[in-house]
Amino acid sequence: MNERMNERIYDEQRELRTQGVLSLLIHVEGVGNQPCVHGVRKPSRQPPCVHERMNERQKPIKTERSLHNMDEEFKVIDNYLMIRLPDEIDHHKSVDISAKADRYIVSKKVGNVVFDFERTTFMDSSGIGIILGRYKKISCFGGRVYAVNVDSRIRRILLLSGLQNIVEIME
Amino acid sequence: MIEIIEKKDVKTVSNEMRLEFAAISDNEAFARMVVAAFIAPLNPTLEELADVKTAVSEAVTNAVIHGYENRCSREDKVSMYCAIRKDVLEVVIADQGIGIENVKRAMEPLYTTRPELDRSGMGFAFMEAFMDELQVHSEPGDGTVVRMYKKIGLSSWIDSEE
Repeated sequence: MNERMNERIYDEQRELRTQGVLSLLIHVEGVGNQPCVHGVRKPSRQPPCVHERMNERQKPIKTERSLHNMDEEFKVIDNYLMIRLPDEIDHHKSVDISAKADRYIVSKKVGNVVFDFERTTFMDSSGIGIILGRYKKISCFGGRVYAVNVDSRIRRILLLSGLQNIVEIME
Repeated sequence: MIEIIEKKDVKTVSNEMRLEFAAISDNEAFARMVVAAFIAPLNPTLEELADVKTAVSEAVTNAVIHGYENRCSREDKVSMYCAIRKDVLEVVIADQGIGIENVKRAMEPLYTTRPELDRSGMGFAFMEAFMDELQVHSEPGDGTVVRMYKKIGLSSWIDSEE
């Protein structure tokens, strides 16, 4: 009788010990199935999550600012509208950028526009169209257009279009 | 409809592709990716790659907003044909849109028929600047064919000289 009880106690204790160790492992090492951010269970040791979408992939971190999304951003500082342009500027994106910029120009009554090309890796003549269009809108009120963080390719495109007389390229 | 592919020089073609996609602005980026992927085996420099992507982007944009007047209908298609002969890339972008009445005037820098769309009128100027050769054939009401050539991978030629 005592032996059987001892056995049972020993088994129960062993069970508890196993469970305790398991929970400790899960807490420390993340062993075992845990749901990924998309709510699907996967072995947590495998990065990256296979359900990650191509366009959401974490891009390599270059500067702090890269952590933000890659769309255009607008900021109004004093009398200046700062536009941080996206990584690719083509006709498809330029429609949106121009519309948003015009809304800011009209509602916030900004006098000058600054185009920030820091994130821009590609631009075609639609980008020239954005710059020219905003220039036409603000120049009659004496506003000026600036370009900052211009790399050699963007500079080449601006010079090719003859925009160096209209846009001031800041170093 | 103007014949996209010329019958001459077909024997020297080492690689070619033909693609047809909807004439919507979303596909401008898609066409850039396609041509970049197609010339990747030629090992282009970053500048050559950017030049070709820009020229293709301009041509496709022209087809969408001028050829098809920006109506973004799914029935409207843009055709793209690329061929490689040794190290020369040929890109042909064709549409069946309204065509160009005066090609010479259209290719003048800063001339645009759609200033209300914030168009700079520099599309053809960019294509001419970034590609080695540009040919435009168009008939009003019968579509437009834009043919461009560029020599890719000049860096390998420079390396072999050294």
